[in-house]
Amino acid sequence: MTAPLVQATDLGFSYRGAAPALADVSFSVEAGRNLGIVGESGAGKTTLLRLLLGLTRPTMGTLSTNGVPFDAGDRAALRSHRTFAQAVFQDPYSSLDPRQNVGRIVSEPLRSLRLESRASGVHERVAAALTSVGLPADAATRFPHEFSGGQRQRIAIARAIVARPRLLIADEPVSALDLSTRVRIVDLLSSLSADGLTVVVVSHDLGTVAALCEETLVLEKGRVVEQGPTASLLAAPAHPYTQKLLAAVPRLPKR
Amino acid sequence: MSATAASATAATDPSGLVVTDLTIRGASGVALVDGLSFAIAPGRRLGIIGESGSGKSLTALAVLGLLPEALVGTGSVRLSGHEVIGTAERALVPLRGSEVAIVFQEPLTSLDPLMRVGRQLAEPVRRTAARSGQKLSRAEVLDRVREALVEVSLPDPDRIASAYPHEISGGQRQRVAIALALASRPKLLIADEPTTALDVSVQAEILALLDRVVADRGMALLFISHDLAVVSRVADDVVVLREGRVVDRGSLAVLIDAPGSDYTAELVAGARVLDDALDAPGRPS
Repeated sequence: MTAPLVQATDLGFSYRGAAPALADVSFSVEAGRNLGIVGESGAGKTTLLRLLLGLTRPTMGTLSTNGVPFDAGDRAALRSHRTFAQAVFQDPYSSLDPRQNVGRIVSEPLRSLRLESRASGVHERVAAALTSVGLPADAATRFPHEFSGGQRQRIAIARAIVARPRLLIADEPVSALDLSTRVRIVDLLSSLSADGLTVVVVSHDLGTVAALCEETLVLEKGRVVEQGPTASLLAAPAHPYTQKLLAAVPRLPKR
Repeated sequence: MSATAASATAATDPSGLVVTDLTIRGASGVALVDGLSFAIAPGRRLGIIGESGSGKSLTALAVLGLLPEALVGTGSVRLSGHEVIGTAERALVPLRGSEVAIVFQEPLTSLDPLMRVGRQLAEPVRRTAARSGQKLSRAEVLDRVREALVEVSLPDPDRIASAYPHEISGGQRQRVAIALALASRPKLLIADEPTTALDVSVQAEILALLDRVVADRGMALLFISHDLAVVSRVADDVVVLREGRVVDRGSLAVLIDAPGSDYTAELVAGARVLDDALDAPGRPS
């Protein structure tokens, strides 16, 4: 049996002098099974995301990737973690440098991780990444302000996948987008995950998680209150907090 | 219903809000809102559905007479018969509060960070009493501030009243912003994306709160949102705006079943994908 992409065991984190922001969090991410991390403000979603990205080291518990313990304090390990996991953030307006053209933005991981030294190689991989997110290859020569919010999010996704990571960690990837654009980005993430990428989505929106993730983990006040396959979790939420979250989602009038 | 039908209502019913052929242009002359007409009778509710750039927030500002200097509004906005478009600022001040009040997406927009919540609420409470010739004592003002906080279901109103905006949660701040809007007893409440910045469980509470206070007070409500499901919680009738123009109007339940335009159909289909996923999780094909 192959090791899971990510294995978190009793993961915890306390900011200095404060009560734990995250405690006793255990889960695994299997290749090909997208995970949705659901919770409201203060649930610990962002802290967990920082741990997964290696931006912060856990103060308790362990994190393994591909069966190997991951230490975000080790520079070499962190470097290889960057080729393993990449991130997409909520706001496509603040996550792209306005002074760089799209080609330069998208190629950044290739350059900083020194994955491709030939200019023609960089060019090809950027063009391929832009194509796979549904943008024209000539987008590379243009600047972020020339694109709409949904297109900017596609650029951010292209940057995240250009180095061919195994894991894409998306923090509220569609919350800042208009509804019609939202579904297209969900579709895009879904088609990328059909193509060998595994996606971890951090979101407060259960609809997005339901559409995209096979597995769901519900966080409340830094602790996991419920986790399991999304279908059974939504069909029969066991924890009162999950029930409350689900009941709070505004629904369309029934057909 | 067509724009003509709405203007016809406008001519016969001077009460409530009547917007006729509202056009808002930017400095370049581009129409950001183009020929918008709708009416809300006293005590009735209307939702405006639109995405970014649809002109929905500009419409709200135009109703309040608060359009930015660089923009020019033409057409007519009447609040209980009072024309707003082209009216001098000084004549608009008495309309704001008593005729119309607004709740924004971000409650901090309407709250002064340097003033305790209770003092901020005391101001419209005093002004509203003065309007009907009452001079309130300090104790009476405090009582009414407390009542206002209780009305929006804030627990421990005394603690909230003595807190600064940053000392309370986002949901509590939005409740305070609603209390602030209600304090001058407006006939029309405008809510512009009032729950977009909130957690989903807080959103549900705020929607229930708006639904209740608007009903209790018999106020009219103009509810602006990009989210069809959210609008459906508080309003039956909607106008769908796209790039400043009305593309659809009528009952939301009817539009969801039988959209009158391709754009509405696209919005409904998008909302339906994520809504259906909740019942049958799985990746969209």
